[in-house]
Amino acid sequence: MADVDDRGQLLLVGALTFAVMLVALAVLLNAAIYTGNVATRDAGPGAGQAIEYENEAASMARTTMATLNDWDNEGYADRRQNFSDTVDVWSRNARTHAAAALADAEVEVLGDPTRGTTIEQTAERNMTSAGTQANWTVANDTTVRAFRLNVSQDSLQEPPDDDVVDLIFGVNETPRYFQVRIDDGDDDWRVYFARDANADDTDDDVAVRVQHDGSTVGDPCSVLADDDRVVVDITGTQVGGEHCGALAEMFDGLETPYTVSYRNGNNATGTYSLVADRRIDRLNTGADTTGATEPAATPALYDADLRIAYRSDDVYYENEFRIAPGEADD
Amino acid sequence: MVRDDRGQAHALEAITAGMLLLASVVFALQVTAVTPLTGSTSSQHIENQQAKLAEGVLAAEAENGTIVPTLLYWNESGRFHGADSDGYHSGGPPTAFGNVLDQTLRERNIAFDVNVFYIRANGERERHQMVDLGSPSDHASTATRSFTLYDDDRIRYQNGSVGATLENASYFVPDVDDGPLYNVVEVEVVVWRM
Repeated sequence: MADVDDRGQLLLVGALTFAVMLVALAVLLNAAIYTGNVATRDAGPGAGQAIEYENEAASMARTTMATLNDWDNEGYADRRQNFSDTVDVWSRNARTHAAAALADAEVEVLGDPTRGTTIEQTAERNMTSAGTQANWTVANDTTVRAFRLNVSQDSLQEPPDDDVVDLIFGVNETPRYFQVRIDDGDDDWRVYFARDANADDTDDDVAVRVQHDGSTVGDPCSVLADDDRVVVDITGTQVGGEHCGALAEMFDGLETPYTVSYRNGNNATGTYSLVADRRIDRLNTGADTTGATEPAATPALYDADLRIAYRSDDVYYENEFRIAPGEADD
Repeated sequence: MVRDDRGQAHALEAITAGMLLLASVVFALQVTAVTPLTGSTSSQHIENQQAKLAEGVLAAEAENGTIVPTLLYWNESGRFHGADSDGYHSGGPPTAFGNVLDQTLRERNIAFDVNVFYIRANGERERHQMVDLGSPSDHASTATRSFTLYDDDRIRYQNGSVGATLENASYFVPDVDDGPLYNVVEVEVVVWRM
């Protein structure tokens, strides 16, 4: 009798403990699952939308500035007006889209965009001035952006032998290479253009070599000419689409403002374009400032400051930035 | 002596019974509180993942520059090339962007719609369907991204070659600016599990 009583108590206590353990286990397990659920419920404050808006606004401003600079027969006032009008229209339209995502977004032009000058040669021609001088000043005391040349390989001077050193320190008779000279008053940088100058390449290449105050900078940059053409992006530090370390080094060492000039312009043919940050009536240039003959100088906008603001329920983002498409550090 | 012992045991039994009841109630409550989305095969986690997937596809393809050419893949008779007037029904458009949509979404059993929102001259926001694979479920996720169209962007022919500029073409999006800007469009990708 006493034995049976004892067993009943033990069973009861055992069962109870077991039940409590099960409940505790279930509670723990559920807490873990619930935490996981809550943790994934919020996908973050969505700051990406604000950054995306800024990127799209900057890209629109760059494209708009480049397009407006190509439009003819307009003075600075019209260009500035058109630029800020277009930015306003974009801002209004993008705002309508942002509103659908319960956000408010705005972009505006701060102040007046800087007056500059586009100097370009759009038709194939040698690199002489409008008055056919071989050595001439392209733009004085300025900063340039979007400086690109598209040169014909055949028109360039060839070094006496395939040794690249001869490109500058030629043996006896140095060819008169076409060169872009950039002078900031203290330092003198020269960018030489030559053909078939690199012994490493088979032939048919265009080589660009940079010289600083008489000594050579880095390695020459050379690429094979595609259909006789090579694009040299000076401010973009690229030769034929490939990065050129020597050009990058030049812009690292260059102080602004500087004067850009061409030497031996009769020893190269091609097209080019650049934008200088000096207004056309104060610019000393060999290009035709009436815009009638090649190379032509025309009024253009150099850069602009913009401010964006983006507000959503949990993000408030405001930023000011400057656009100068194709600038060396852009 | 014996009666005293019994009383204690009864009290203990009653308390234990009460605790047991209470524990059952707690247990039952916890069980129901676990999954607020019990009725769905989807979960918040998967929804977030699909939203991020759609965002990623849009961001990557915006970077690759394939979305604007797809927007311009327009037949001037009033529809996208090879589509019905309300968009493509059998998958993404036959362009690079459409190809990526098919490969990253449809082949993983994720259905998607692509909507293009644009602004009318009077400021209204309009929707044009580019891809319509059905009605999104209650657990669909969306990703959006804005793109800018310019006057000198050119519409694409069926074979992908470029045609007339937007200014001179008959396009579903109107020109809203006197300057070089054409319109600002928003591309929305809606994804849900099939």
